[in-house]
Amino acid sequence: MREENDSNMKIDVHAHTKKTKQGEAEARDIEPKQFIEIIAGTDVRIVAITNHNVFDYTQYAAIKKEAGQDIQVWPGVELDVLEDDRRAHLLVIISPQKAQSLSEIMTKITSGKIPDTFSISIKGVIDNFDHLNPIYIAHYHQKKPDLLDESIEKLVSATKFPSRVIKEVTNSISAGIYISHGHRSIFGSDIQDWEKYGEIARDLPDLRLPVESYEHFCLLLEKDANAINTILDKKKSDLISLRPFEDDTELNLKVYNDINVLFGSKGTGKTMILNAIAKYYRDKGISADVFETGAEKLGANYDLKGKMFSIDLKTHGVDYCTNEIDSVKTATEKDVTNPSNYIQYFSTEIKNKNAKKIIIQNFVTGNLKQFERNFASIKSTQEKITEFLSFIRSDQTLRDNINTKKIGALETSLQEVISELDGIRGNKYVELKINQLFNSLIATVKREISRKTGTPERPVTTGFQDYALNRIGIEVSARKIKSNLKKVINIPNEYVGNLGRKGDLYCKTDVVFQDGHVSDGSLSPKSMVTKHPQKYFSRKMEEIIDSLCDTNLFEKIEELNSIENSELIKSLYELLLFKRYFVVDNKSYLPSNGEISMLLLHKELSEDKDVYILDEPEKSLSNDYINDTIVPLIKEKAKVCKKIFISTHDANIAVRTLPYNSIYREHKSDGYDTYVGNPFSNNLTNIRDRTDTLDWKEISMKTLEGGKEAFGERGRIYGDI
Amino acid sequence: MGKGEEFMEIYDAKMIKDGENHYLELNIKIETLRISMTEDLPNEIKSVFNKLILRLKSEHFNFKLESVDTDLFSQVATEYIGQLNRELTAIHGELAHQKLLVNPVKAG
Repeated sequence: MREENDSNMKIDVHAHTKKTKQGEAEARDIEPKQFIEIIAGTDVRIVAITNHNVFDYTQYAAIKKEAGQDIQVWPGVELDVLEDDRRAHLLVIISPQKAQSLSEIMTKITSGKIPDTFSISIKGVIDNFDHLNPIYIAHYHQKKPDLLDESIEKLVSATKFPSRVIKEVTNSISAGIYISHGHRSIFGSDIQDWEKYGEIARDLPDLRLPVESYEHFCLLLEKDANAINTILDKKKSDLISLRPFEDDTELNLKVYNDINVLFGSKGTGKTMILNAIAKYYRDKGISADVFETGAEKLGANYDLKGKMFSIDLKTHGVDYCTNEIDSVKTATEKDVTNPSNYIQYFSTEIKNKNAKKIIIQNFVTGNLKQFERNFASIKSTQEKITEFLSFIRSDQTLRDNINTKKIGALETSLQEVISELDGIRGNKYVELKINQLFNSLIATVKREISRKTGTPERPVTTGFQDYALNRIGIEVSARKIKSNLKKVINIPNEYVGNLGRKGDLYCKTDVVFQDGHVSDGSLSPKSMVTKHPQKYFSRKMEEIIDSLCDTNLFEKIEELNSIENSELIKSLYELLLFKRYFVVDNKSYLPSNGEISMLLLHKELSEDKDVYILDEPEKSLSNDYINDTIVPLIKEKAKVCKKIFISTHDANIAVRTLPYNSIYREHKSDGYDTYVGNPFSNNLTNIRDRTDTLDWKEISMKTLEGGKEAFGERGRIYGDI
Repeated sequence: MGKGEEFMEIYDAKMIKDGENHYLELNIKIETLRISMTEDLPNEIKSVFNKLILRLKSEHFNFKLESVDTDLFSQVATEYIGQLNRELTAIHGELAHQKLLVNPVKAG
């Protein structure tokens, strides 16, 4: 099944492979191999060879052979038609199966003539070519030299296939205008220079429905219901049963993995149907929501209020400083040893002889800090290596990619290191414990001697060490808090959408710490702690750092603790401030309602879903944006077989997307009716009464806003087949 | 001073008598600090200790007690300075470990 590729198919009904007339450019000449290479490089999958008054069967056969199965090459000729002494051009394209016959006819009628002077009348065309069941494409109006309306009428009247007479115009815009006036029209490349074909091909007509052959194309031209239904049936579809209305009326709809448009006057229940469709898919476990636009939704979508916004400070290299904040808040002053303790001790002589003999009483206690650090350092190193060994033993990727022997050797080495560290750790632990015990012993002995002899205890410290260690601890914590508060947190901008010439719109998140100096009123606190306590807390922390060797240090700490909600500040997270806003070129930007609608819709369509349900997506959007951005995006979704349901009053969407399925709701005196159809059959059929049909195009033009223009500006005939 | 040992400044300390009061005077070059030995004034001692911490951030120092005698206050001063010196050295090490030294003197 080539459903996806077929959707990209373009057609060129007017290609030249050789210069046959004097005035033609040499650049029209092309070899079969090169011809197919160029065509294959574009989306054109059907090409008709229509040289002036010449059909070169040998070249055609060579091209067809090169083309293989991927590109349909239709034989044809561009004839000089002479009617009422007026020369005009008419393309005659026939089935590839009849190429030999075309060759024979052209040889016969051009015998003894040169392409420059050859001409044929309408009657001559009918007599010679009509039995080949051709498609006639006449140069029309601005496409010179053009056939007059009378001559075209003559052709239409004489041919057995009037539905196959098409007008060739200059471009897609002209084609649309003529379609809106009931003319069948198309345009081809009429290529002059093959080097420019790639560029020209981009604007050639799309084939919304896949065309399998020349004969198939002719059936579509004739709006053959079977041919259209056969194509539609190839597209995946669901028969869905809905109860969208309060009266519980059942609505059975065939919906396609393509564009399904709901249209009709306001108040005909389209939104209810969309909601029922969303529920239908949700009940089946498929994610489906009705998309509605609205200015407030963009802010909510991007969480401008930051309700869902969270941040892990660690991922930004910031320490939460939970222990440090607690350590500063709970710090208390250490006492020093009073000189009277020394005076008392040295004023009293120990009389007890045995007590005098205890030398240990003269010992002083040692500093344990270094021993504690040595032990902690070895312990931490050993734990990290043990963790690494455990990772090596459990990591499957390593086992899948590295030789078992090498892994074994690494494990053995690490195990040896761990064992050695284990020994060192034991020694450091013993060292620490010996010193702790020794300090304890000295203190106990002194205390006991003092108690037993009734003499004062010998002071073991001036108190300076503990006093200083306490302040150093506060300083270390406070400085760590301060340095982390200075860290810059960068959050990548989220792309929101393109605002055309204005540039790309992003959602930017500023995150800063209240370090005591932030005064931007647009920033909000991330936690329950409000802005003033945040500011006072950080300022007080700075004052603490400045007072570390001052006598008033603990007054400052007391002031820190008495700040409102200080108890809620447990980490730096509580000092976070943030702001989410939109930017263009990194400058704050407030999108208009129209821009918001545009961006929301673009975002919705950028998401990968199976079912898209859009309720009046055109709201606040300009026609240009709908045409140039939204319609192509919707078509892209259809190409990859997504289900798209669109309720719309806008012809740009309802017509230009060329939906596989049009659902029309009409209010009548006895209630509501639902019609289904498509632009290809040009019919809408009442689902309750198959005999009640409407003209799709007429209803679209009448019901939709901009209906006439939609048919006029950029219609493409093969979508309108 | 061997390789790897840090230079240590030695400042003067002395007991002085002012009427009935005895003070331990600590001369740290930029100023002279006083600790009363006859009266318990913990806040004044803390103030002196704060200045010692600040000084320790700049350099490692100990005190040498001048004119040591055998009287009570000399004994007290000897004991006090001995303990204080050990503690000054320990705290200087701690300040170095916590990278809180100002213009630290590199070892070696």
